[in-house]
Amino acid sequence: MMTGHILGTFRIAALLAISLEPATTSAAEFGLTPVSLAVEWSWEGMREIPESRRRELEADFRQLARRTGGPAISWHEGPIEDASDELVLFHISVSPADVGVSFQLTLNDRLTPANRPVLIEHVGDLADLPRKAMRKMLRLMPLRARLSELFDERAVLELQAGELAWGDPELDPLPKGGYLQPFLVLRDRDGVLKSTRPIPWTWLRVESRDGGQLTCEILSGIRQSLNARQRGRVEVLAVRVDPTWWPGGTVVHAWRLSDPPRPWGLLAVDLRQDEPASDSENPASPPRSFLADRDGRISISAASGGIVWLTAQSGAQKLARVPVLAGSIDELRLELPDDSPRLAVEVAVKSLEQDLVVTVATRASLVAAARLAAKAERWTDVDRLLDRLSKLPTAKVYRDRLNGLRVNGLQVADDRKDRLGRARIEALCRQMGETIDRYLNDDPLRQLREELSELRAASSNETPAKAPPKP
Amino acid sequence: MKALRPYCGMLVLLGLARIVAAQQQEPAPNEVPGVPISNEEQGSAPKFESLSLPSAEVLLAEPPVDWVVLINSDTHFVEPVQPRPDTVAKMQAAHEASLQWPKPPNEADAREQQRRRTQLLKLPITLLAADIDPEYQVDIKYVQKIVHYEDLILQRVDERIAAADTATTYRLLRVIEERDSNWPGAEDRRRALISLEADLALRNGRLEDALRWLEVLAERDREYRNLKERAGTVADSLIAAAVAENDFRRARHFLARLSAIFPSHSVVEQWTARLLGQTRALLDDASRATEASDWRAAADLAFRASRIWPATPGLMERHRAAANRWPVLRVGVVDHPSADRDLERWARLREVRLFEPVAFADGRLRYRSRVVADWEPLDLGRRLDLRLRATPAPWESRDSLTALDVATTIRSAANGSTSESSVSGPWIDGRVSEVVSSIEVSSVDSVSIRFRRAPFRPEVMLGLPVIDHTGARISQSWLASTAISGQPAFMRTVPESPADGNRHVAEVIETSYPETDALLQALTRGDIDMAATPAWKDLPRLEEDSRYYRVQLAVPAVHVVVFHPESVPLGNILLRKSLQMSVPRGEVLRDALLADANPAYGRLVNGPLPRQHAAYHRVLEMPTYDPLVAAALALTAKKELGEAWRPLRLEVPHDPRLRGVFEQLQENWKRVGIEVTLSESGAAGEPPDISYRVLRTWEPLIDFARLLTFDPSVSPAGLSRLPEALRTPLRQLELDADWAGAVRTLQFIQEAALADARYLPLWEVDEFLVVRRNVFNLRSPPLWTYDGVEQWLIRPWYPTETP
Repeated sequence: MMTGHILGTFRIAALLAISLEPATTSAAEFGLTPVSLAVEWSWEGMREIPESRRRELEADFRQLARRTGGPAISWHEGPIEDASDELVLFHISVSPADVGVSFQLTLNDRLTPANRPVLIEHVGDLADLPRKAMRKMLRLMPLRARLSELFDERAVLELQAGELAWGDPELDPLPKGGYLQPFLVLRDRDGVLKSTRPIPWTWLRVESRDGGQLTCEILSGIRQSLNARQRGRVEVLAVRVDPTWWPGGTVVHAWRLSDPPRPWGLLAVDLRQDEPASDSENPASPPRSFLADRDGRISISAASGGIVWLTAQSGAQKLARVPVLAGSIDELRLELPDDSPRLAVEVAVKSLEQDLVVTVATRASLVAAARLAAKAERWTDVDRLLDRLSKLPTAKVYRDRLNGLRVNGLQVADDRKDRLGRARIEALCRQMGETIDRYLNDDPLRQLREELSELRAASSNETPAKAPPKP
Repeated sequence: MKALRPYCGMLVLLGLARIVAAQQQEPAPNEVPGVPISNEEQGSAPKFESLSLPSAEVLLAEPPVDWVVLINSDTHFVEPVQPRPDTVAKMQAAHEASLQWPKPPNEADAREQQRRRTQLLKLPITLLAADIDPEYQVDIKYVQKIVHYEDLILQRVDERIAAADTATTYRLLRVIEERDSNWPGAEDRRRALISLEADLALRNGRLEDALRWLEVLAERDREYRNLKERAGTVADSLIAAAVAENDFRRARHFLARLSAIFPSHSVVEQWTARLLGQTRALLDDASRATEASDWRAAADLAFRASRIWPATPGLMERHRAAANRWPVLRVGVVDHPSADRDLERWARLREVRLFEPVAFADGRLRYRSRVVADWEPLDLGRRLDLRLRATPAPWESRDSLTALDVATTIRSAANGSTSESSVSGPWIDGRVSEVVSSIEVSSVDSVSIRFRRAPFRPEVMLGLPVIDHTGARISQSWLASTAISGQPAFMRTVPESPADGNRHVAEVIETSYPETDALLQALTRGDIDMAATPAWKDLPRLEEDSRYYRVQLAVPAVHVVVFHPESVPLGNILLRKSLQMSVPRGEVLRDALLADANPAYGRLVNGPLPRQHAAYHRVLEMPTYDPLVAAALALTAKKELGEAWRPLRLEVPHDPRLRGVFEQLQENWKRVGIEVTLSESGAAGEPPDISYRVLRTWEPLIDFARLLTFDPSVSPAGLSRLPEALRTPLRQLELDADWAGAVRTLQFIQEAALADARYLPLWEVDEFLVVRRNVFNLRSPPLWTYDGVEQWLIRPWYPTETP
């Protein structure tokens, strides 16, 4: 889950340690601070590989890592327990396979604990192990950046070791279009890490890089998700995340914040690639609408390889619109307010609206029929149609029904102390009341009756003139 | 007749004078053949030789005329004379009889007697001339002959028969029939006409008609020329054709008809021997099949033998032996689909379900399990321990199931329910996957199911067919097959080995008939044991027949028209409302479905539930019928839809009994401006917009969502087609934890679905099975057609009456 990360059991078989890092660095120094790194090897169940060969492979890996990282990476020396919170610790566990070996790479990043996968790969020729392990390590490498400035929905960040060169000049682990996930990091007075947590539903997309300075677009489902001003001992760090980490995509768990909270089964959602500026704006790509499963799970494929905007709806009401970097994380939890009182009113109002549609159509057809009958001077039919018209439900009937729905809905919302729900119910009912008044206005009926009375009077006056009674 | 005229003697004299003159003159040609020339036009009477036979039109159109031919051949056209026929002979006979009169006592009386005697020789005639006094008398000694009107007709009949003009002949003979049916020669002409009819029918290939004519002729004259040979030829052709089609009943029918006319006809003897031989050959084959333990073939051969010649000696015993060893239930239906689709009835027959409905009581279906011996809810309903039956009952047709099979079934149903997955196999049910948390097989006959939340009525949710993850049946009750005679058939998966020797039904063979009349005929002929889909109008007649009994299904079938949630035009509520409001359901039920039947068989409903269901919404108003408003709504919908407006496609089941209903629906919708085309279920082409559903013994707790979404797996993708107003209560129905709550929710769904015009509820109709009395031990009342068929018994029987 995004909110937690589980450390594996450390079995120290080998430790690469090159230098110790200070606990914290200033913003100016951040670009010049290399990433502190350590790698643990585990060879459990690999008795057939002699100790000397293992050491040889580890040495090869170390050499390759130094060559690749150059000054941007500093290797931790000494016991892991003594290392600072900023240490990036990889664990490589090698195990036998049918042919060759397989290894498993895990990362322990206490400072920015994004939910990274465990990478597993098979190696046929043991000599390839260092190279393949290095490639996997670079995939998980937690490049961090510190927020320095915000402007125009953009964030400027200082990339750790951004001013330092990598050993491999071709390597650009954070290219344009790459993503970072921001974290709030809280330290105590001594600079020791107290807690760290990701800023929810917020992602940063790299727009440009100038040395160690990154300019990123902020993609967030919450207002003012980032604050560039450091408050006390809280700092905003962002860490590189990769949408290819979880090829199966991301599962968002929708929860209804009822008492107690429950999974929101069959929640209506839609996914779109771009974020519409407003509801009325037509999106470039049509949204894909579907329902969460009965456990509230929303599976988002990683195929898009970028940000997907997820909108959760309850009836006609939008409950949330959040970005998801599908594939960068396996699971997310989306907590939504319990909207059931408002939804119940909406459903009932919808039903009322449908009845209203039929009444309006009936009234229109009866009016038309009455006019036709009057033109043909079929006054019996006119009377019958007028009688039917008078029996149709009036605006008052609909308003009374609406008022009943409104009162009940408000009562439930008040009982739950749901002020937002209350306001939405009021708005919904107000809108429906206006519809009733507009479509069931009595004036057209009054006009019709007057018109028909005049026609009838005219007709009765004309009749004797045409055929005067014989004496 | 007027009194004698003083100048009648003058006429006679005139007649005599003409006789003399006629002997010296050539006969004048008749100017208009067949039309008598009036005496006045010619100035004298025409000569008989100059006259030709009047045409049929004249004879039929003009008043009857007799020709009185005098001895000089002068012919007078008179009104029909009396007495007739043989007028002259009869008058002479009367005169001779008068000579025996007693001698009068005095002279006056003697004169009077003489006068009366003389009078007997005078023929009163009425001339047809309009401008002279027409009444005369002619002494018969001057009359050469009288050609009666009837004889003229018969002459013309002979001519028409020779010309093979049966229609005119009928009309002419009809005239004689009305005047005097015993007229000499009339019967001969009638026979000639019948013979002609037979010849014509034979010539036109209407052999049955020819045989019928020959039968009629034989009733009149068995010795009529060539009758025996002709009847033999016709009957032989008919019998041969029937035998070629394996319609032996028909062959026996013609044979019996020929035999009724000519019992010892060679054709009768030949065919009797041939059919008897065939029957014996089949019985011998049946004996060989029995020896080879091929009971199915033996039963089929014995059945076929009984169809050929039921009177074969020894047939009854051998048929009984074969039919007792392999009892076959022959069922007649009219609802076989044209496409190759598994009917719901067939699927149900084949499936073994973990739990299945067995009765309808207290307004809901009751379930039991043949697979599970007992089940115990634990942990406040969050766990269910199932213990399976060790072995099936002796009469059951299924394999023994293990706990692993049950676990696989539940897992398969729970498979594939993620929000990304679209509608997949119909065996998958997202609701099962949500509720079932884990399944543990604790032993070969014990399964423990853990639920995320305690399900309400787990037996309803677990009413699943025993299948694996691909949807293939792990166990089947009845194997789908094809009868030796070609019809769809179903056989027991596990052959029965009863201890008491009473075998239950081993095979079910369904025969499809195009119409209910043919079904009824098959039942009365004994071709089938049960009519599964009889027409309602035939029920009273069948009920009175002591050969059958009627079984009413426990729950009436509910007919409902459902609007497809994915149809683009039907996304418009006004169009759906219009469709809903434009059908006079009561009239359609009465006039189309239950025409000529007891109207009490059907009742209008306001939703898809039968009225006896506890969740039927009694307060909900019926859909209103208002064509005026419906037309207005359709017009508005058309405007709103614009280019999306198009004819709608109505998917209908294949059932000839409902054809009238479909036509009426189409007609009523057309009347309000909505064009609807019909297509049969399963037909290729565009998906339907509207579906006509007949809901038989359905479980609304799980099937309501399927009905509205058209998605058997009730996946989120399927539910997303519905508006929130329906989705919410359908979801609530899944979460309901008690019966009262479920009833409330079901009623709310009915309210919401009717208000949102998701369907048009039509009516519920009582459904019946009509069963021959040799089939018994049916479950009473059955929930569906083959309810408990594994325990039905059939007494061997075959029709022996002469067709």
